[in-house]
Amino acid sequence: MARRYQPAKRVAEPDPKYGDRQVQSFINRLMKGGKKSTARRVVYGAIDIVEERTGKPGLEVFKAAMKEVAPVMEVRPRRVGGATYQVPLEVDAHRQFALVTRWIIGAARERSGKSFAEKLAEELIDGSNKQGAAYRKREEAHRMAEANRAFSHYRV
Amino acid sequence: MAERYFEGIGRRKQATARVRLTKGKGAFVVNGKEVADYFPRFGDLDIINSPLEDGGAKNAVDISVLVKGGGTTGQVGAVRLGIARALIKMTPDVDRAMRKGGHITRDPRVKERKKPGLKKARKAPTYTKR
Repeated sequence: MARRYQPAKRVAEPDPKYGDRQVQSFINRLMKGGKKSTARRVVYGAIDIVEERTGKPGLEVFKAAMKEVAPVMEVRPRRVGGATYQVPLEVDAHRQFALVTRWIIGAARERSGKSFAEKLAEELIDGSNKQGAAYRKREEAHRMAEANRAFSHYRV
Repeated sequence: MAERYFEGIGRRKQATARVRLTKGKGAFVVNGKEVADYFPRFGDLDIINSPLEDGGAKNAVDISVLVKGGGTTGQVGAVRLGIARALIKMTPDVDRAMRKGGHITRDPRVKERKKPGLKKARKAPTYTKR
């Protein structure tokens, strides 16, 4: 770890189709084995399918899903005197993005049948409607935070 | 070929691009092919054209590029840098615009060499106590 200074945060360049950094970041997270073109095709394909099925601009639905699925609170373990407590904490924007991306991609991979672009499209539509496996993850995180409210004074 | 040209050399990763600009109206040839044919990948053209747009020279120049080495991504970046440098030679007052757009920063990221005792540049063999 650098001791003298904090390295500057690097953010993804805007994606070529929508000029949106979130979309590019999403593509990067979805990519496997450095195959950016393939990842890009899948994501753009999914957004096109979303557009076709909802009749709304795909990017809007994408953003809506990202917003709806983002958790506000989560629990993180903290050890105090031998016992580990699940301490509820607020989720900062950066981590929100990381979690949402992970959940949506994970949930889309879990879906069965069809092409990945289609699965991703469905997950995005569901997410924007507060449904789907990714949304359930968010609810689960909130439930855990609520249940462990008693430990909230520990903070990490 | 009596026409005076402005040359800029750009590099990125393993690629080197020699870019020649002449006054013209937008012809763009890379290694003897049309740009769009040489770099068909979606989004690459935007990167290549970005210095031209920021320099306001989109259809005011003819460009001829020889690019060697590296892969597609490296070549794209090399061409971009070469164009930016050539543009500055041609019209020095675009310098600010080029700097602002980050077009004349040589991207220093290159493949890291493999080291002896390691499996790759950073990957170490599993530690065994004895």
